[in-house]
Amino acid sequence: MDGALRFLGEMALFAVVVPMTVTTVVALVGRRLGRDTGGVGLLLGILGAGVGILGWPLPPHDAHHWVLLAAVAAGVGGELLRRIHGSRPLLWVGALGALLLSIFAWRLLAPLAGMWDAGVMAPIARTAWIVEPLAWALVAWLAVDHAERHAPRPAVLTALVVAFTAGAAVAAIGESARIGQTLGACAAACGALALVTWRYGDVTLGHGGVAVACLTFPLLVVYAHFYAEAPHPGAGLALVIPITALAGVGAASTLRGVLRVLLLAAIPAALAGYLAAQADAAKTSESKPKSDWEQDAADMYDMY
Amino acid sequence: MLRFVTLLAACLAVPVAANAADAYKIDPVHSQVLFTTTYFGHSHFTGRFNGFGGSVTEGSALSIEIAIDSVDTAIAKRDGHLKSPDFFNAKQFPKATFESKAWKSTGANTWDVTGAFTLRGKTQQVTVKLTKVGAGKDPKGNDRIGYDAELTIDRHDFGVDYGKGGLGAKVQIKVQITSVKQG
Repeated sequence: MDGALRFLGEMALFAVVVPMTVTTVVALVGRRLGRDTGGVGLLLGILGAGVGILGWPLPPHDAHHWVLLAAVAAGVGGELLRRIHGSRPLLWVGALGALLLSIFAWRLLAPLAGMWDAGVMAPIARTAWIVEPLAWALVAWLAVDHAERHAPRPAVLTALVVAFTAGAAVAAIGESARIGQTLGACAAACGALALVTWRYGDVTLGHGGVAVACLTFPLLVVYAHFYAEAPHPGAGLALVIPITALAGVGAASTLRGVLRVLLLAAIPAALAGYLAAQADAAKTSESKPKSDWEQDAADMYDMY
Repeated sequence: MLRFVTLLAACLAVPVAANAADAYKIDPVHSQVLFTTTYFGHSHFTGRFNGFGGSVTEGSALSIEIAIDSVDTAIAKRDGHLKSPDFFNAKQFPKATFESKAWKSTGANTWDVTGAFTLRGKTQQVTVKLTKVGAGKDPKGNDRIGYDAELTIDRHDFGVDYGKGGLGAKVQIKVQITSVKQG
């Protein structure tokens, strides 16, 4: 196969085809068998794409392998919680969210501890950048969990699609196409499930699916910031999108709910992309090319 | 007496040859670490690492350490991409190293040096083709020996997987070494 075709084909396969197909097939097959497997479909869709993009996570070698393991832990933990407490009380959801976020954020960032000891990053900045995303992620988790039970599910999933897409843009504006691609795959999986839930009202995201999405998103954004220089104003704002998007969903009709989510999410999403692009431009200007041909070469580099 | 003085003068006049069995430190100012791979199969692309160090003891030891963060391809944006988790993941794996285990002479000034090469946290046994370029003194009187070390790796063996089909799997690494005698 031609090199360029293979390169683009693999990118599309794992960022779009695999997550959408796996999520849709698992959700529909489960429904046919009389089970609600929307959350399982989302988990397998994200995992299938994640393994294709980031590699097999066992044993965990790269820090990003912990994101895939976190998705599994969240899916299983969420499902267990649902079985133990069918009503999903707020306290239990919060406790599970805080526990998983803390454990996996620690695993994700542990390899950088040596650099922090060397004073590469200011203590206040790094503490803020660990605590803030976790706090936002926990609030987002509770908001998504609440909305999933009370608002039209396609609207809730649309909020996640916008959040993951904005996160993908911010990560790609940083220095990692691969993390952007993974966030894009998560958006594709959520998008596929949104369509399924729109068509079949009895398919749900479930607590497992909520947990998978709400853990994967902040971990990938935090990873993009710490490991791949995703600009912090954009990355920080991207974490707020799910909350903003869900703020106005309410119990509106499906179409109105989706439109309101898109409207509410568009503002922070656009702002996150703009701030990330601005920060990247400022950083690029620090190493400003000295001649026209150097500028041409810098402009031509597009991650492949 | 005259014969003795003549002999002594002759001895002093002969330059002391660099003893290759001594330990030599790699001089990063006059050495280079280069890597080359293919771009979409239709051209070659070369980059370099500016930060590295190591030592050579001819016939017994070769040790090289490379700072991944020093990768330089003349385009800042591309250097950042190479440092990211897509390629080298420089923050998690800041160093690449080679430690020799066995030297096998293959000619008058050539060796196959087998050893452990670690990149991106993964270690593989590799064989470096080492050629001695020359030996002599620099203007300050330091003993120097120069070598060319060449090695080809499959980047996928080390988890550098991004850009399959775009960037070649095989990467040639060439280290042009100038080493200075220690002590």
